[in-house]
Amino acid sequence: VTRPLTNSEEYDVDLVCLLKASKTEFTQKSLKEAVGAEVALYAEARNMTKPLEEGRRCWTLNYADGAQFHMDILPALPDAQRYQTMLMEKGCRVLASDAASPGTLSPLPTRPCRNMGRLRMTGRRAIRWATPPGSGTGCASSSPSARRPSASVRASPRASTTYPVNPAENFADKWAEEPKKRKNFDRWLSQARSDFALYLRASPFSEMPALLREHLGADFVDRMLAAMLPTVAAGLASPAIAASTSNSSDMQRAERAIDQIHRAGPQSKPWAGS
Amino acid sequence: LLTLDEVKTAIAFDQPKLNASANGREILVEGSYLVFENDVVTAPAGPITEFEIKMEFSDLYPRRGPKVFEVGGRIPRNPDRHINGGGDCCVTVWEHWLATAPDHSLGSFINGPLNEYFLSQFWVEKTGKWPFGERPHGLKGLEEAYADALEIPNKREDLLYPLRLLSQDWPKGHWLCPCGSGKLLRHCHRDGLMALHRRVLPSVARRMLGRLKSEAKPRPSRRRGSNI
Repeated sequence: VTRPLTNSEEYDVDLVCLLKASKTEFTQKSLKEAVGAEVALYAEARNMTKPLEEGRRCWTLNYADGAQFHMDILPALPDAQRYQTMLMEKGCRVLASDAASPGTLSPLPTRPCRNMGRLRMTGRRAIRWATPPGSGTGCASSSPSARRPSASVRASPRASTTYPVNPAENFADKWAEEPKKRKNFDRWLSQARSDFALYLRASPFSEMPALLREHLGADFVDRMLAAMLPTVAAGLASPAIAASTSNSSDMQRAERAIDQIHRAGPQSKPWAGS
Repeated sequence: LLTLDEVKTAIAFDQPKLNASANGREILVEGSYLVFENDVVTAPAGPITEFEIKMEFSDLYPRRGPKVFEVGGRIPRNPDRHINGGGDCCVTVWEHWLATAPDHSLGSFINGPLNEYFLSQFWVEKTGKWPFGERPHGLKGLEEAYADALEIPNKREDLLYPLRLLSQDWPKGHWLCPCGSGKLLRHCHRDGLMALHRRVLPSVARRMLGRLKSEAKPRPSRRRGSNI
């Protein structure tokens, strides 16, 4: 469940509808249609006035206006074992444990840097991080990682975003027809890069940049930090390094940077015109 | 033509404290410029240092170089610090970079000459020394930079003729070779010159010639304009 940040937004409930069936019994199309028919019957039985919306991979059930609530229902077949194996092979143990029990999110781990991927996923709730409407990054999978298309977007003639679970699936398959989707995705990706670079590059790892906290949602970040181990939380709350240590380390780093540039060959020298 | 989206993409991860906006055909980039070691992806201790800057990019980049200003007042406004009174930074001789760097993308400029300039400013602040050297002011510095780019001795008379040859869309084989042998180009250093012609494009060579002429003109008062 993604809780809204403001009163004008809706609760976004993502439901994975896992059928006890196998791939031999359904095609992707028939699986989606079967679930869609059930959801339509449910909506009719509950006298829901808003029409059932069909997405590319899911069905969206919109509740009445006052409810501020919609549910994305994602048809899926059990395939967790495959995802779990793939994630374990890639060294993502925490995600692999999620894959085994889809739909659950465990508390934010205690090592913020190594687990940035998780923060990024849960950070969908932030205002700046709202997935742009129609960016085409919806998905059909019981894997938690499925909501995160790879950042590697290949250039024209045919754009593609790679999907680690199923390389044959291309999240960018509609971009040629609807260029706005690509633009929205690029804008989203650029903002994501900038926001996380604030933490990864612009400040010490022991500090949470104010702008990143704001963009991810201050309440969300505070809750996550509070859930972390006290020692780590204390580290994030305190000034990183004593000033004198910092200065000497800056000089050492600058010296190292100068050596690197000398080895590669400097590209420029300052000059002043008359 | 350079677009705002391209600028935003170039700075998004590398320089997250910079913001880009469009102003007509100009793209403004403002904020804190972060100085790092080469090829740093993540910096556990943050950047080495940072400077408040403003940059103005024409949509004709890289044909037209950017203007870079240090706006935080950290660098003393002293020509010997390669900065002018208005904070206009003398980052590099633009045509030299165009002629010598293999990649002229915005990212390459931001992580190349710009990083070297501000790393140098940090080093001068701490030690008083320019880690990568500096060029003489004015015409002498231009001549030195162009001679470096053409890999020839730094003499004005040796510089102008090769630049005239390189300014041609197709250097003429019946012209005299710039090496001074007295032979025709086609019977002497034709291959070497053609290789140079591929690296130093005619438009760049023409701009070098133009700037050499304009810097050589006597001026009524000392003025320091954009040096990129």
